Amino acid sequence: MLRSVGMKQAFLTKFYRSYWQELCGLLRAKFGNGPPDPEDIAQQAFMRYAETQLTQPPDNPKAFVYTIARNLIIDAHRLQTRQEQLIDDIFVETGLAPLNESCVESSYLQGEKMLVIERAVASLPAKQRDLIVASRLRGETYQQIAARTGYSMADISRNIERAHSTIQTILQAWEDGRQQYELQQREYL
Amino acid sequence: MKTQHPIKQQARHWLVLLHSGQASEHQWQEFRAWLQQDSRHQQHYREAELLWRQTTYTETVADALSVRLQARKPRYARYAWLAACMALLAVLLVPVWQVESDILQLHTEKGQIQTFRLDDGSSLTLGGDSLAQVNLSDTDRQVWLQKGDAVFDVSPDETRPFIVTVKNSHIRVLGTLFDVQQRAEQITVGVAHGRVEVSQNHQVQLLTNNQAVMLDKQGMSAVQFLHDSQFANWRQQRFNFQDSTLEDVISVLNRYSNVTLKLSHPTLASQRLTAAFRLDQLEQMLDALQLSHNIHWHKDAQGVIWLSI
Repeated sequence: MLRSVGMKQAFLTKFYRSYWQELCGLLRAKFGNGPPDPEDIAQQAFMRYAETQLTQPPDNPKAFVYTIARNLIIDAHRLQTRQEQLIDDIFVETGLAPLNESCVESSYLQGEKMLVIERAVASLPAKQRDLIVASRLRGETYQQIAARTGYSMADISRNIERAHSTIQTILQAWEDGRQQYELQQREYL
Repeated sequence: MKTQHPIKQQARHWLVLLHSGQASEHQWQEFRAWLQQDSRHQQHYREAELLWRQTTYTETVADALSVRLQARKPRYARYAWLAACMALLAVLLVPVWQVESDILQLHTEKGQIQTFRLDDGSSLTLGGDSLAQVNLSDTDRQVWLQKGDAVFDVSPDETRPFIVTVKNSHIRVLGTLFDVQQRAEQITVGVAHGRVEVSQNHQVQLLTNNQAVMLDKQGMSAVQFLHDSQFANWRQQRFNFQDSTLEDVISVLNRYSNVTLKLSHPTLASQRLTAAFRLDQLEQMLDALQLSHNIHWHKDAQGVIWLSI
């Protein structure tokens, strides 16, 4: 146990030293000089990575830490909407497990599932992707989106519904496929 | 195409409505009732909602954010030449400007330990015979530790990083309690809590609770772990020396002690020793030194302690 903790520490130190500059460079190139300061974000991302209890190390630690850093930056720039807060409140008031587990945390812990969602979102038509950005990142109401783009409110609702449906269908297919795969594996054994 | 599960569809309708920002008070009440009606409603709504929130943390959104943030750049670029001129001007003006600026000089006398409060809510405790310069600006908080030891209790301020410079090493923090000890050949940085980034040349190390590193001309040591009692123990006039030169030990003791120690022979300077003691046990430590290293000591008429072979 002690040995493995020591090895993890040694790996982290080496990994940190080898990737630190590159990560800061990547963040700076993509998101500018901040705020939040790219160095601070990189630092936080490495901390989160070190604190994360993974059953096995990620296949690509660099991509993993980059994802944490990227999500932290998105979080720093996004607006949490009033309606999101209301939904959270309703779940708590009705005695359900809270929804507002940090998505920054959960997204990278889900590993492959996260990648499936990434790809599903990327595969959507441009209009639907823009609506996700408007609603999720900028926190715009449909009325604000309508005023800016000229789309009707019904059109916006319909496209958001389609986007959600597409992503969920892709995710479902992946989960079914995985179950199938696991079943096959079990039959072999 | 496969027909969709009816509850899944209902959940999605609610999701699209609730996130519109246009749902009425009555509709919110209806949603609450629908949710409480059936545990499958709860399960499917949770799934739909978490999936929707997850879409925020994707490369698609990151790319859109990137475009938005990069769009700000040209405005800065237009004034880049001006910034460059200002920077040049600042460099040229340094000697004059420094006199007028708000750089604060803090220092302690031999044998004195003092805590200074800074305007940003941080505090700085200086060890004996130490000197620090402080400059708090709108963009950052800078401290140059010119001589001696210091403990920093930094108040969090994400917009103004707190940067401590010691010789050629930089210590950068957000909000934390940490200690810097300066010796002739070595600097030690220890962190009680919080996060600290230490950099020297191109080497960078992140330190967190109860971790320390040593820096010397060869570079940075591996991370070491501190016990609570080891953190900045000079504040209690306790000292730990590990494989330090006698010259180093003497120079530290002279900063904290009211007496003065001197070496009667220069060859003693490079003798190495490991010791842990309180300052009020100084004479016992010197007696022990006599046994372990065959170094003798005596006090002269002026109270100066002389060490000899």
